[in-house]
Amino acid sequence: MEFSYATDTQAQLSNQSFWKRKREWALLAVETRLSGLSIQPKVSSSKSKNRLLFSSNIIKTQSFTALDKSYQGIAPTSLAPPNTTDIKNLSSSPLLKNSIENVPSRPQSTSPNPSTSCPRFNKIQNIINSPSVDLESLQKACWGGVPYELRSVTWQILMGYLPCNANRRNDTKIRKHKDYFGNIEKTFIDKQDSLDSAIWHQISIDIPRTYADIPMFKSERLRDSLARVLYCWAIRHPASGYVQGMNDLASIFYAIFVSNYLDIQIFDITPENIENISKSDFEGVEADCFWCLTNLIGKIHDSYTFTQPGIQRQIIKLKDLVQHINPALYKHFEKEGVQFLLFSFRWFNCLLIREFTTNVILRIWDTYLSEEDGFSNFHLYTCTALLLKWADTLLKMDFSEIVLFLQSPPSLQWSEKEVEILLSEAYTYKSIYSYSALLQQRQK
Amino acid sequence: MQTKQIGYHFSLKCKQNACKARQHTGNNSARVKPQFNSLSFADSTAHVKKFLGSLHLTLPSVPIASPEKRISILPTSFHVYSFPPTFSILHCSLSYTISTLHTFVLIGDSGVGKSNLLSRFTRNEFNLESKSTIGVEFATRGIQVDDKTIKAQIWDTAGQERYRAITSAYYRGAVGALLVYDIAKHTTYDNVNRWLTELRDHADKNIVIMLVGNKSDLRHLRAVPTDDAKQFASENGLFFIETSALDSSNVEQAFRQILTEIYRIVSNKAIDSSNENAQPGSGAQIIVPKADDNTKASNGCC
Repeated sequence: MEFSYATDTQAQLSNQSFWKRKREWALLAVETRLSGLSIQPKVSSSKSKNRLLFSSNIIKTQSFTALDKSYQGIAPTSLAPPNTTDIKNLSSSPLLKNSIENVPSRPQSTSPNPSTSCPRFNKIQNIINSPSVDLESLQKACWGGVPYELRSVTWQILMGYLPCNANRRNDTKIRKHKDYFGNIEKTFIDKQDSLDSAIWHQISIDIPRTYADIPMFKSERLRDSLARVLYCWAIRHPASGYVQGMNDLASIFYAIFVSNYLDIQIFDITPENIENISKSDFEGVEADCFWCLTNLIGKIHDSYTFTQPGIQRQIIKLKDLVQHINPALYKHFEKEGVQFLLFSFRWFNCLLIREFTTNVILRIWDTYLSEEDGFSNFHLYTCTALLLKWADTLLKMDFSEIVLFLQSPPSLQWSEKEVEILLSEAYTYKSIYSYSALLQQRQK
Repeated sequence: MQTKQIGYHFSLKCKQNACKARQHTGNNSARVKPQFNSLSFADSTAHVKKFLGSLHLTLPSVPIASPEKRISILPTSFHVYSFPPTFSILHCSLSYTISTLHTFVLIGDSGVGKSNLLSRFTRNEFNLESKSTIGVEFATRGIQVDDKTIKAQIWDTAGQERYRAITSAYYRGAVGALLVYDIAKHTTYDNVNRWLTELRDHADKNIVIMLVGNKSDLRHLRAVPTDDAKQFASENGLFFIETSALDSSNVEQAFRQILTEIYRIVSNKAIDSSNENAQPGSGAQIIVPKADDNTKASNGCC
């Protein structure tokens, strides 16, 4: 599917016809994508009675201390796949045996829930339930959106947190949970003395400001847990430490994992619901969030290190793309003195969380997770498509109007439908420009 | 440093072509009252240029002489080249004003209430659950000083150290800075010195700085005595005020005071500089096509 610059036939083609062909091809690709979108399931607000097979991200163990006893065979920090004896030891624990054996034998979903009966739901579920998940086909199936009930487990696999091999999934989870709590213990052991006060101070200022409009984030329990995750992450990654905006990223995982665990829609979860989650289950959610956050930021770590070179590079690329695709807009920005940094910095720093409502951002992230380098490369094209959407409006504005417009963009009122079109446009741009000399030059 | 902004005001009064009006009525003998439409807008340069372009006019180049210069061209009568002629312009004037933009920065530690101070001042809004600022944010408001409207552009910056590289770029163009601390958190006051160094390193040396103790509504939690801050301010040549974005006390005054101060400084400078290089005859003329026979004919119809 790639056009190579090197072939003789293409060298003979004039530049224009090359772009034309490329564009035609890309549009075709988008059509196929869009036809896939028509079967996009509606997220149902009714409670699904079937707790999904793997979607409950919590392993039903009563506490981690109990777990430790039956699980001494694996070193907590070891990331190597455990050998079979370990698994046997593990499954001898009655609790775990129960969970492992029960999972595949649970009855298939038969409820009339619209979301669970749609083809996409079944397709993704089948892929996840297979003994070894084919990552490529999972990505393909998830590009057009993951049904709400399957998000938790799908994201964890796509994030690279859970292994593709179904047999190793529980096992990995236990090891990772143990690893996380080992870290927590180390970090908080002599709480006040070893605490890096600047980081802790910054986190404690930002926690109450995180998603204050969603009721579940008013829960003290959740806030404490979020603070722990962020602090532990920051301590383990001294190159970047904690950067404002990471709280937004982490909260997305909390929203999804807690909501899937409780089987309640994100906005309907009350702080009381959070309080009622058992200790071990809540700890499981916390550890899952930590590892997903780690994997996510791992993909874009240079966006948060000193002077944030990752973001600077993305902004330069965005500028190049806009200059190429819509020179009029680029010139207008230049004339009015609008720097791209002004508005796009937040787009790259918070991965558009501030620009869309939560439900919509989840849908965008579904696609990001299904793309190679979704959070860096595909995100760039999404930002490009987003900016160009408003080109006509922006061309009529002066400096302050442009800045104020982009500071609180109308995308906050967008529904999932509008976002699907945006993502398709982003896909088009990616198809046209990702191999172009334009960006490759910059990379050199 | 200040930015010059040119605001245009274009007004147009025109008469719908009587011939056309009569055609519509289909009665040759009927006397159609000339209909007057007027159009007036103040807009960005691009818009004015485009509009004038549609009338086959060009925007005169604007000499930047001194602030608040106003040039009018009136009354001029000309015909619009369109076929069939739909309207004749009876009166047209173009005026422009050059006003000075005052750029401010809001700086200070994270969580002291910078964003809420700004939203209180520009939109009279306060949000207890406002999100943290990422990078820089922007707002603008006009304020009356000595019968003149001064437009203030205010940059609200993120408090976290990591964003310093990005935010410090915005200090450079600023004529004023509001250095905010939280009266209930002593550490935010302790860091004021660090912020001052930051400003001295990156900002214009003539920048006017005001020390703002925010959250004055938290009387029972006060950690920084007013007198201490007052003394510190006078020692360092800063203005000082205590505000509360929550109950909006002193917010307006804080911005007004610093704006007035800057306006004084800037207008004194402007007087000095205009004496040095006075530009005579800084008027502008619109190039108006001569009214041709067609215009007269269409006027004659009524």
